[in-house]
Amino acid sequence: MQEEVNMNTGGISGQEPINPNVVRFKEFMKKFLRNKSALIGAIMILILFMIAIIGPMLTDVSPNAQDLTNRLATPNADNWFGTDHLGRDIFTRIVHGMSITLRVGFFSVLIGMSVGVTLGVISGYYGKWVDTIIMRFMDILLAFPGILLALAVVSVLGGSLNNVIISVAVFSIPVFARISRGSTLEVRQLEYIEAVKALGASDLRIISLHVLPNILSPIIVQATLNIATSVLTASGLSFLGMGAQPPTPEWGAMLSDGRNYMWDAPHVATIPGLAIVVVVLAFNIFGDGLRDALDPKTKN
Amino acid sequence: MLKFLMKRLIQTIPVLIGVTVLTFSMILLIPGDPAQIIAGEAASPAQLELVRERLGLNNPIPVQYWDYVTGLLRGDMGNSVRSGRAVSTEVFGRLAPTIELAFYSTLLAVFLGLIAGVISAVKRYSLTDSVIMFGALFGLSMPNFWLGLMLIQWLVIGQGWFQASGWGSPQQMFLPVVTLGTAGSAIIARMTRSSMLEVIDMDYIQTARAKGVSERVVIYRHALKNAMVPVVTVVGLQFGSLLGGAVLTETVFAINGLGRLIINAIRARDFPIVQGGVLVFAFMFVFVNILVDVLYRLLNKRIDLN
Amino acid sequence: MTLAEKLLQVENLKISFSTGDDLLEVVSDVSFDIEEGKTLGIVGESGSGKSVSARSIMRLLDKNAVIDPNSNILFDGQEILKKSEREMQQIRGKDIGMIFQDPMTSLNPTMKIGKQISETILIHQNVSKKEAAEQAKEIMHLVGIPDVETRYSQYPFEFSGGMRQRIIIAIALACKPKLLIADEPTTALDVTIQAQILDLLKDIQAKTGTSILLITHDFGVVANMCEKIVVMNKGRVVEHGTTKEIFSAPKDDYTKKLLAAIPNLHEEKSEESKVKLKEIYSGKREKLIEVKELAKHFPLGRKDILKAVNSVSFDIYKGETLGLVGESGSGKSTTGRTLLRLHEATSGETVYEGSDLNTYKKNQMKEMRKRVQFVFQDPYSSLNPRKKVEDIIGEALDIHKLSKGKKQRRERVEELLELVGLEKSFSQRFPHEFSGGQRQRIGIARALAVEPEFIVLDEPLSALDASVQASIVVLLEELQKKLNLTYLFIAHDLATVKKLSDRVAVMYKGNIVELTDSEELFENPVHSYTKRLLSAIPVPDPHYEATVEKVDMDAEPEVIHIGETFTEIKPNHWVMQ
Repeated sequence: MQEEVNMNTGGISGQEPINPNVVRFKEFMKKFLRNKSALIGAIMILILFMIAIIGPMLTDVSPNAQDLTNRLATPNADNWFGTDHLGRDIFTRIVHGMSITLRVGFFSVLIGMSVGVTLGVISGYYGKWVDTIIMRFMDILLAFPGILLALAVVSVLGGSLNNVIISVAVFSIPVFARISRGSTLEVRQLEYIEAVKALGASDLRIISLHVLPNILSPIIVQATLNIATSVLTASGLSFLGMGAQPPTPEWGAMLSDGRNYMWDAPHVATIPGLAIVVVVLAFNIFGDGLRDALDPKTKN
Repeated sequence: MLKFLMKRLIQTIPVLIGVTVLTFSMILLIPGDPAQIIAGEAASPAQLELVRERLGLNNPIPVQYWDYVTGLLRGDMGNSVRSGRAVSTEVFGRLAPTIELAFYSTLLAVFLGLIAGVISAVKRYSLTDSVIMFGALFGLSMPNFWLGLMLIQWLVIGQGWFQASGWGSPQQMFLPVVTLGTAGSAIIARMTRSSMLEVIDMDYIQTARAKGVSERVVIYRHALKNAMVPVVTVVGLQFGSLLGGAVLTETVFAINGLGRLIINAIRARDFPIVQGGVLVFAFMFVFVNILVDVLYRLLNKRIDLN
Repeated sequence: MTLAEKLLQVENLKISFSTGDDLLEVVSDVSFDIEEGKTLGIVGESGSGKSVSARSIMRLLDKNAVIDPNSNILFDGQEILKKSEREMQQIRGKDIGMIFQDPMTSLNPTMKIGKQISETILIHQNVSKKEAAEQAKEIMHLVGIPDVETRYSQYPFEFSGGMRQRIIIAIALACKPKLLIADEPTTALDVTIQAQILDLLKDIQAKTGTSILLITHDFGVVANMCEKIVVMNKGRVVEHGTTKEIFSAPKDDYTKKLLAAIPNLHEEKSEESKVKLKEIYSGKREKLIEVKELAKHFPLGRKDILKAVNSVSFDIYKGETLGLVGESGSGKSTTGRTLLRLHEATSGETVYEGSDLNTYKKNQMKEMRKRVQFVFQDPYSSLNPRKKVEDIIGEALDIHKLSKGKKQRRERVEELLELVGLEKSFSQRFPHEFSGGQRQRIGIARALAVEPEFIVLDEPLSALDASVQASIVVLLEELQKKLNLTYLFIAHDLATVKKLSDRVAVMYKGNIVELTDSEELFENPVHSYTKRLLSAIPVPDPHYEATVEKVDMDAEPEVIHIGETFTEIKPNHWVMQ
């Protein structure tokens, strides 16, 4: 693990850039490469992506090919992860499910982030009644605990992969709105914002050129960690039967199928769950590392 | 304090109104004819008209909303389409297991999380710290429905120690509480650790050291109490999100709580139940948050808010 | 002088910090000593190693600090550097007390202050809790905390900055230590509070006979307090001697530079300034801005409002520098910002060449921003860290479309950099590569890019070291002459304002309480707040400090009567009465 190196002792000219959100790129790369967990997370994510893209081309059977003579087989040389209750090869299904999982994670966060950041920045920059209205609206969304909001959205829209993406996106809007609002408030009171105002710059110019670039780091960190949460929520929805519909090789749905065979063939439920853990862990590790690397308080 | 509570309650009113608007519009947003959905595919036009009449679906939307809210104020959340019983009876009848589950899980999360977090912070950058923190990260990365199934696999099927379904006896309650509490304890452990580390760098810790206070006392008397302040907020939020997480846990362990009621209602397209259940969840969550705010303020009274 | 009289002897102190692979030496061969009952001042600018040296006496350095084995710190005959951590804990707080810079962050926010004081006593003395409480209350009394019984069980947030610093002093004094280390004890405080705290330290020394090691960047503070001075620069002692010797005959160039940089209150104004004043008073100079009953209130919650600026009126004449002085919370910065509509005024007018700026529409105001500009206090937060200097300065040109094409833009930026005394090549660098003074010059260049006629300078010096301050003052004076600029110069102490300003306005709690030319203000202050402010300036002249009679600083500020009407008590001298 990293050594504690702290230069906070008074006296040395330790004047750091005041903006807590800004870390210079070179410094970031240095810290990032030293930060083993960020690096491990990044490599894991890279491998996961490669599996999602190349994997399906390399598997020779279809993920939905049934073989009723070979049901609930335990892992063996032919079926590395065994087969499920319809004799489908679990390994093939996991490999094909990778892209579904990543897609859900990415797109839901992308949508949630775009909406949330826009609202948060507007809220933080303009303040007053604009802020009150937007944040009250966020409070309403936040009033639905955990997965429940996504569940409510899916129950209205009906269960499908796209609806899962939308519902998980809705669920992550308030998180991004809060974070970007907080950072905007922090940046807004810095003197360089006032300086450009004094030069006569328009609000649009200030927001796009001076506020947004300076609040990116916490948003990026949050996005990474949120992919992890989104993957968990989405697989939860599918586990409940509210998400991807059969025979889609979605891991949550696969897990749900495996539930009925816990006594005879525990691997059918265990393996998709492990796959989810690996993906979520990868993003969590990466996000944690990223946060440390982007945090000016931790020195390299 | 009472004044603060009042103010906080008044602030909540718009949120609660917003929540009712959202749950109300669930019915409106369902693609297709709500009457058809509620009455079922096989319903005749006459039956449909009856449903519309009974639910007031022919009225203008604001009137419908008004009826909905005034109904809520009287404790009337409509009737289940399937069983015909009052939604309020169904929902409140299922409330106890859900609240108990969330409560015990929070207790477990706080207990484990605080201990692990403090140990990690005190032994920062040691092997113990790394192990605890990786454990926490792992706990955070597990889908709780999978953890539940794995626990059933090992401890019920493998060892026969606990029961895998129902709610009431300790044997039934242990596994769901562990399942739901794991992620929470991971979050609290991480929060406690980082909060402690932040506090340890503060100027007033230096002041304490300059007094000749020993390092132990610095940590337990000066740092811990200050580090707890942000943790309290997280604990409160945890209780709320555990309420939500109960949906999955109840499904896995076949607990007849509110979460399972909603899931089954969604499957059965019993929308009044879904609507009522979601609404009750949201209201509970909002009030838990108020409670947390009050607690935070009690603890925080001593801290300069500037 | 025998050895026994020396309480503390530091010899050949050498401290390095390990930064990953390298060792960075921050203190080299530093030696000094303190006699019993005396005060030694260590003076140096940021990065001089003065604080690190002081902390090493307490052994409170960060873990990555390495003290050279050949260093010696003898305290009361014992070698501090050979003590174990446990032995050090017995010395800290008991034999050596320490006072820190920032009273706002140096107290435990969740512990009652009485407990924080008595904790020291309980650790080091074998007394009951009750007795420790009694002792703590006695000390609170000694450091001038009123109403001890109630205050004892209050939390830090219920105290002002000055009071908190008194509490920190009480903690340090609780066990009557032989040595008190005060690390910039007044830097975070207003001047009048600073004067109170320094008086308190002197008073305590007289009563208890403790020695004091005073670390500061301010020569004014040491003149007031110390018998002997050590001047440090870049980790080394460059000069040491008695206070009188150093002030009257500094030997080292760096000391000379520091002393020269201090504004002299008795310096006569230049001929030019005198001419300017004559023209203003005889009506020959045109008014540039007339501020009429300008007010700015901020809402605090639903019901309360903060009257940051409470109806101020003044004129600014073309080509002059009007100084605006006040302590924190006086409303001086808000006045400057409201004047340029960085805040919207609550009421009142800012008449600029006949029309009120507050009525301008968006596009009119944008045009106006080419004529009025602002220079900010903090050279670190006032430059966008993600932009190159060329883009920071060039942004003004972009917004107002003042340059055609990249080449012209770059040429103009380079011209501006040279104008403020920087190199052309700096345009391609980022803000973090510059020192505070250089950044402040960049900030000035940005303001000048639109060729304004009026600039509000909002405490442009207060974040800078003294030697850098002087060079910025010279730059501002030159620019004013060269470009015929008018300044509103905002500052928190009278000393800095005097050199630059033709006339000075004193602000207190949102009001201008006195306004006249700077010489008149210094010679005949009328308002009681002005007198207080003047008296609080620690004049870096030991002779003056010893002879001058001071206003009694212990009076609570509430006693000051602001007055109702702004009256001209004699020609061109306005006072709130």
